[in-house]
Amino acid sequence: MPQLTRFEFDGAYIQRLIAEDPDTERHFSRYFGELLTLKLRSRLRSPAQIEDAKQETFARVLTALKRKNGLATPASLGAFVNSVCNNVLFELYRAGSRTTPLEDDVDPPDERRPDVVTSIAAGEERLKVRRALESLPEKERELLRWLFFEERDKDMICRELNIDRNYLRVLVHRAKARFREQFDADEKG
Amino acid sequence: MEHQEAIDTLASERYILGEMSEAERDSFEEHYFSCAVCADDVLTADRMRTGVRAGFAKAAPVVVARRSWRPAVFIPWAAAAMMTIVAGYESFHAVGRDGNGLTGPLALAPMTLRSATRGEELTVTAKPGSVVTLAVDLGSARFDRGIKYEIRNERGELSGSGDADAPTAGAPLLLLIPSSAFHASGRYGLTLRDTVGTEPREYHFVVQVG
Repeated sequence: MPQLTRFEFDGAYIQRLIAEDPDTERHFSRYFGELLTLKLRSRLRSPAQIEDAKQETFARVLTALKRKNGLATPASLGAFVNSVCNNVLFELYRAGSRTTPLEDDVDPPDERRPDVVTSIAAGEERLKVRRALESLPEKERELLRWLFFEERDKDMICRELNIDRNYLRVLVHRAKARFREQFDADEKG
Repeated sequence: MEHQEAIDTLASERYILGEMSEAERDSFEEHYFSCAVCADDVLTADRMRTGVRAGFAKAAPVVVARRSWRPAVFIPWAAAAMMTIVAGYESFHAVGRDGNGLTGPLALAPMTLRSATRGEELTVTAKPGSVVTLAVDLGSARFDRGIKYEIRNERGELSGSGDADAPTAGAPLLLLIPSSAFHASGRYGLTLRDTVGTEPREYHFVVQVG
């Protein structure tokens, strides 16, 4: 999940990226796009900032690959993308410290619109996510709601359930496994 | 962070729960950018979290009686006991022990068996023609794909074994063992394994025959 064609990050993959092969570029931007969004979301406030940092990372990675005509260790492509993203973040922080920060409640929406195909795919995925969540046992849904929707204090949740923090993680792990199973079954079905 | 460490420490779960220090978060990110398995895992967790935040994990529309986790001690035990009676009945035949059949309800008074690291060992009495009922506290152990269990005496001789479905989260595993499985008084060990062969969980208890 998601059902991306599995590519090996080898020399051939990188050469296809350098040659701007559309399939490889699509895979690269989708695969690392999701990982970068996940990473950046915990560090940047607005969707626009996240998108900018992501695009800047992609641009720098591709420029570097073309300039060097590859990577010394192709399998380290992921680590390379991550380190470029760290540099982009560092520069953003540094630039941010030289400007006047906006008020906390100012978080303008990203005005850029995704293309139609992306919107449809996102809509389908939301439906699958919804169905997978609805298929979970009520107890698991309740726990997930407490954690991620109501954002209750985790220690209070543990006291309520009479469990420790380790076991709370195990419960999340089990819910995730079941969620994944349902999501994958939906994807195949 | 190495892959095995990420698995063993439930790194994906801790990551989406926001439980990692900055250094650990950086280290895990470095790992999942290079590991397709962990990338897939953490994206799944994130997708689930995002769906919940979008309000997709609503409560069931019809609630007859609100279920809470706390009464898990009673209600799931009763359900588990009913199921275990059936499983136990089959197990008796499967291991060729007493051959006892169940023709009516059977009230159980299980003894709670905790892992070997937690305090004094439990002592149970195995009366002839009866069964020993253990409620095995699984603690934080994970048995996602079922449980394989084995009971052995101190000499390592097998007293019983079998497979069971993993109980629902928070519920114990109920084991009904015919007294005849215990040939002599002494210390016995129960080993639980995930059916995929992960690290076994050990329990010890003392059996008093008679």
